[in-house]
Amino acid sequence: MTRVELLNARYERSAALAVSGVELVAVGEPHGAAFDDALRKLFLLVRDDMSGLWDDLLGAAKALRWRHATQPQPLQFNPAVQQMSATVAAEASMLRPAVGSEVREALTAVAATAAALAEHDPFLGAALFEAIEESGFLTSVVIGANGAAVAGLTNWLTPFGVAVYSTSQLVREQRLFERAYAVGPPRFMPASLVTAPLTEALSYYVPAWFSDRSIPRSPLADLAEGTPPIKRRDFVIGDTSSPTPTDSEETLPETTLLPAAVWIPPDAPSREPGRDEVAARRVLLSGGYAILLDDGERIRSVDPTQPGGERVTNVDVKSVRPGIYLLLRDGETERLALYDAAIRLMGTQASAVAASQARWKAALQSRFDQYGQAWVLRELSKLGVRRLDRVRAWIEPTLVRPRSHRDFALLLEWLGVPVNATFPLANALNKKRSQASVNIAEQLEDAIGAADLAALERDGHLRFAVQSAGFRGVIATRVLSISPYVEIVLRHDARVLSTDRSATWLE
Amino acid sequence: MSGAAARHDQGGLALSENALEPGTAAQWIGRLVLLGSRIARWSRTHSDQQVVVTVSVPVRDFAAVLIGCGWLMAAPKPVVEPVAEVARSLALETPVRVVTKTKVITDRFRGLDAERGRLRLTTNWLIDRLDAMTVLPCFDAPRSQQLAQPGVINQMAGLAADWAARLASPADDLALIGTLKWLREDISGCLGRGEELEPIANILWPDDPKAATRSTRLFAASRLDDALPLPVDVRAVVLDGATAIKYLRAIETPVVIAVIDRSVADESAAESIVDYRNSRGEPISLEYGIQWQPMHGMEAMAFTVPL
Repeated sequence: MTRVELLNARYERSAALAVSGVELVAVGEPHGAAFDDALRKLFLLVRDDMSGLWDDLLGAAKALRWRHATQPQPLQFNPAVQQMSATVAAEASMLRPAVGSEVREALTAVAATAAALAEHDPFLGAALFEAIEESGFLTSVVIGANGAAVAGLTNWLTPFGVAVYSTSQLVREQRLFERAYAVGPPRFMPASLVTAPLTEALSYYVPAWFSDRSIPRSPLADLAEGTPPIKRRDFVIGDTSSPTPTDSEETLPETTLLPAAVWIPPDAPSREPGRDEVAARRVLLSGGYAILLDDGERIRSVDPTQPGGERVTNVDVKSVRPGIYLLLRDGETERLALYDAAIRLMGTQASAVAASQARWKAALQSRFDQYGQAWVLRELSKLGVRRLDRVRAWIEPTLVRPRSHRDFALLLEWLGVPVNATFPLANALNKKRSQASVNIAEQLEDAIGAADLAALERDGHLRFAVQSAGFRGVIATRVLSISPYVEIVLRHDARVLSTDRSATWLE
Repeated sequence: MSGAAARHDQGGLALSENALEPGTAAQWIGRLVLLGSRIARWSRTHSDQQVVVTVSVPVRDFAAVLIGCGWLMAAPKPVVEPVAEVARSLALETPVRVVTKTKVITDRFRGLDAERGRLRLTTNWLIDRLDAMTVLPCFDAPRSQQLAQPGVINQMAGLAADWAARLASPADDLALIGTLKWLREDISGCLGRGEELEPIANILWPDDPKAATRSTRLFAASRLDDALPLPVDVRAVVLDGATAIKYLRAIETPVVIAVIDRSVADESAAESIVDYRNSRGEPISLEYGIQWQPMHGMEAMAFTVPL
């Protein structure tokens, strides 16, 4: 098949699946349902306790629940269920003496139902196997929800000749199949399975106790012209008589019970950052790392899906989200290194440009100090400055200038700083910074070009050696979770790589 | 649909990966080319605002390049004065581009011998043998390339009639921003109809350090941060993929076409476009405004933003 013929098949399959719709098979899973029910009850009892006491138990239990929903292979191919179930039991027994009777009962139920999961092969797996056997081992593909699920399902299914992929692997290899069996809840798997299918038909297999059965849509779907909603055909098989809900039980959205970081709101009341401070969010990273990320300059990232030479890029802080890989260096932050390099490249003008930059930034800072953020933004808005969301970031000493010429000119005029003197110096510095940035990007590309990116995708993080002055070491690491809360931190602490083990259950 | 456009959408344009392979026809090919042409026509009468058109496709391959082809196929005829007239007005050493019967050349103007009808560049040329000449805004070194004859697509778009003028003064208002390696692979393909194919490079005339004529500028999305702001004569950009689309707010060209690859799990690109639309955009209808409709397998939306 030529590349163009393959493309035609992709367009045809996209169009066809939009018309035919997808199938959702919900399989009765009494042991899973009992565990889910016990976990929900416990969660409702303890969710207001922000002490962190429950994090380990809930972390382990949510991970076990997610594994049960996404890895239905027989237990002999799923040894982690045994370990996770034991961890849940151990955490529960540690907590039991410290709590009242109602919570104690809930803990006992969670431990007992977790133990049952480790004793019975899932029905979901049996139902899935039967379906694949019927439609043909060689014409079907099984899609795992994540790397761990793919590994587990592969051990079980490849002896039968069944292909098992993650969504991104399937896309990368561009193999066409008649039917895909996606194992896991549709909404929590990549939308591309539905919106850019490599298969003629698609069936999701989920345990019946999982309540959110919505099919993902493209983010454009609501606004775009020419997108009919994807139809879903539901089938329910097996024993789905779920435990009787208690009167007080409220419906918890599935997202609260998925493995996720627990973020505790900061004690300190919110305030504007002071002179040497920035507002930042904590970002948990693969490999047991974290950074405090402020909304300043773009941050270096690496995209393993791109070809060599174009993998290293800068992303806007707002685009940093779970799943992307940041490229961070040990010791000094990259922005500081870049700024220093740019100043050095200015040669004899170095001190003039440093003074000029300091002048307008100090003027902006003093407006903030004197009148507060709300007033500053209102005044700039009246003048027609467009990127009001960036004004606070413009104070950052290492951020050379606003990107828009117009915004920069309006700002300087408003600050009463001589535009004609300041503007060209900032531009010159910006050019040097770009030059330094390109040089560093090229060095990073060279280092990454020689690295094993499959290992990065599998492990979530990878260290690189960069043979260049100013680098001690570089790590590419996947963003696991970003705090919803903003903290005020010292500027020199922002973006510095630190260790943080709180993401253990997320990996 | 206007005549020529309707014909190439329904007659079925074909693509091939390279000049050795036969073309494969499919409806999506023509539909994406048509999108580029339709936006080009629409933007000529709406120059006071930015239009952002988003199209999502199952996979990005060729989409940006085909839209780019459509844009250039709708390029207006350039205004080029007769060679003798241009030559009379030139100062010595002015950089020029000249189209002869067999070549496109860039060089410095070194004099005119009006009596003998000769133009001096690095070598001498009979003015009668020159089909077009234009002044270049900048120049680094003399270049020369073989003159490609217009193929099936350039003929279909009606560009063959002013071929020499178009090569001398190509439309240079388009930029493609994406993964350079992939864009260059797509550009090495051929577009055509039936058995007749034409190199896409002869429609787009992309950046090439050795070429004497150039239409389409290419930028690596991964290095765009260091390339912004874009040159002011760029009127349209095609943002090919998530990395490029994340720069949407920083791009101030009158026309932005974002190509979303739905096979990529990262949905933040589409979300950032929706955010931009909701915060600053005024929706317009593709069907009734731009007069283009997506086909099955594509999604599309458009909005304008005050410039």
